[in-house]
Amino acid sequence: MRTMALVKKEFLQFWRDPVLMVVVLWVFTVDVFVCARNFSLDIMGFPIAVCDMDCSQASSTLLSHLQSPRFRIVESIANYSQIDRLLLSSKALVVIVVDADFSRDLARGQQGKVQLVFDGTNSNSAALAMGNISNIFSRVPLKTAVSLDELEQTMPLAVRPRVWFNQNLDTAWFVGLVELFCSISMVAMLLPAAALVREKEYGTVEQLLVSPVHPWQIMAAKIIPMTLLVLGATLLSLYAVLGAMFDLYAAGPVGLFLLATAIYVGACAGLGMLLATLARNLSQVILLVTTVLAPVLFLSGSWTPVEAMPVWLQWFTKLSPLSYYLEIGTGIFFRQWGLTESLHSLLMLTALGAVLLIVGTTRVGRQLA
Amino acid sequence: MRISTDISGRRLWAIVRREFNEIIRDPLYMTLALLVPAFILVTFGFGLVLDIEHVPTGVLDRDDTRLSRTYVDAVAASESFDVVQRYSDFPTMEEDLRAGRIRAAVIVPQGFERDYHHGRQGEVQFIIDGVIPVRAEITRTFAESIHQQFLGSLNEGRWHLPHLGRGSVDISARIEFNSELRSANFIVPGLIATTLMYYPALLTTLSIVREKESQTILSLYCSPISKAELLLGKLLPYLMISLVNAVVLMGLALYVFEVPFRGSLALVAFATVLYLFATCSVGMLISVLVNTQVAAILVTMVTTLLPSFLYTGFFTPLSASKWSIWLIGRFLPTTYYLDILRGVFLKGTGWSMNWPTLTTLAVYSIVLYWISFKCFSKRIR
Repeated sequence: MRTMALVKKEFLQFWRDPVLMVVVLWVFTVDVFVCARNFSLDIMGFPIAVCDMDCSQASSTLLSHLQSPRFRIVESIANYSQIDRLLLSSKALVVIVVDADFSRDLARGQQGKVQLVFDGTNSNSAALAMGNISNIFSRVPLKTAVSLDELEQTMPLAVRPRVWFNQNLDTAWFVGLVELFCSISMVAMLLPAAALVREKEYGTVEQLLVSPVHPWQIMAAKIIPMTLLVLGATLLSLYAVLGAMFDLYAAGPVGLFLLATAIYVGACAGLGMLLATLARNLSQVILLVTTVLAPVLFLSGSWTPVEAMPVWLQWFTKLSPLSYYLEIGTGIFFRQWGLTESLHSLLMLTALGAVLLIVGTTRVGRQLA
Repeated sequence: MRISTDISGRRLWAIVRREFNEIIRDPLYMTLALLVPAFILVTFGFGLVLDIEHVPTGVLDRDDTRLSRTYVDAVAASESFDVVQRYSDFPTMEEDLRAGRIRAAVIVPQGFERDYHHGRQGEVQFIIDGVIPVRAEITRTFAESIHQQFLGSLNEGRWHLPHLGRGSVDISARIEFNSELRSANFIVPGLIATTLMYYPALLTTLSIVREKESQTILSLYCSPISKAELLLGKLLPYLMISLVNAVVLMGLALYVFEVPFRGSLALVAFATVLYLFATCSVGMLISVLVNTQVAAILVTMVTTLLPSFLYTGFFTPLSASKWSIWLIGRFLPTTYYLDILRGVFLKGTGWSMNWPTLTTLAVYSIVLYWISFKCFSKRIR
């Protein structure tokens, strides 16, 4: 009952900071939407400059296969020496040089020579464009007048790359989900920590201490409202944003996902409490949360799968509660995971969360007592 | 109208000194303010790897003939794929794919070699884990080019191709500025630009909102200092701290991440000062809007961190992005600073090439400071 009164107080406090309320709502909805809609590593209208020294029908056929929306030809140059200028000024990200003997080589039954000069600054898009361009060029029929499809059929072997779990390679799904996870981590860590430190800083914690409540009740009152808040906001984000606007629905059980979310929020709150014991004022705790948030997010495998990180860093990923939560989340949403598949990560998450909560609350309890 | 030139050096210095005193007397805060950016750069820089190599791959070779083994060997020999597991049945492989133990799988169908000799088209299946679409996309491109290479090698080697000549184009590629295509070379300058956007803004905002929250700002409001002195006095200390941060970040980029530096140091220094003035002003502007520190950090994250990842060409060049992203990016100072950083670090561009960008940055810092000056009021609202 007394805990309930404290819970109510926390809710009221949150309610009375309208800016905070709007921002929390914002990070769960607009942010998720904006990220899902706009984040892309794919290339669109990749600017190409062409240096066609052959100017034959064959070379123009070849170049005509570079089409929008992926590519756009921004400039034609006649001279090899202009390449540097184009690339330095980022006007074009690749210059395609067609050899002067291109059509003659073809007529003689040899391969025509083409050179691609890339601006490698952004290695990711350069690699993507390079792969795309060479795939297109190696399939352009130049000697015989057959179409691409016909040519494909005469190939002795075919490859059919298929993508599982997200067949259309819809970036929005993954990015939206990861952004939601980021928002959850940030809010779940920051709010309880800040709520506690604020009381410490203003001395209102003394009032709580002389009131007939146990320190763990004070902490429960900080954690429970946040958990409810985050769960509500998560549901909103899942259905109103990811579901309604991007058509992403869980392939596995949603209930299990919510359970995992609750445990994860508890783990984050525990971590937040731990940070709150280290800080004496709000500014400190805010910087501490930022500091801890960075590795929690980036060592979770959310942007880079764990196996692609340097080996020494892979060990640290095991300490990030987000790595387990992310595994469960993507498992349930994309890989149709049920309880059996998620069990290992769920147990690890619970164990880690329990440790964080226990350490966090005992430290807080000791400080308060 | 009081204008922003209404500044007495003595009073300004007093505010700056007071702010420094406050920072120095909170050792934990000071340590964090100086260490966090470096810490963030290191974790992001090592944790954000976009290079795709050694993708753990499973193989299900149902044919098990000379041709099929050659194919699998070709996949295994590539930098991109690491064959970590060979399967004899589909369900086990499917299970491993679903569990995320392998990220790609190659399935060679039965009768692969026989079909080939009879002139029928054999088909290899590549299954790619699409949960992280960005990686899946590139992995797919790699799978296709390995396949093309394999076709090429068939033609040259023992496997006679009756029906088709080689591809008609011989492609060679030269890569300028980042010849090994290391992702760190573009991510680390990007991280410097985003960190120097977010962090100075956060520190400046906190310094004012903290005083708002504890009401000590009232004593500043009713003191004889002018608005400009108050704003500059709050801004300059964090500009200096951020400059120290900037130096540390650049040092890390050069010596820990080994990003090449090919341009002029003075140019980078000049651009950084302009940029930091702009980002500190952003923080000043945020501090006008919010009253609590918790709201301040969330607003700062939302308004500075996210846009500078999404719209500035951090991950994809703006010239190869949707027009809407390009347009938004044109309005963010980070876009320009990032251009300068990558240009100077990797391309070695000089003053002549960067002056339009530098001018834009200068305009930004003046305009942003002016807006925050206009919005800031020495009255309680």
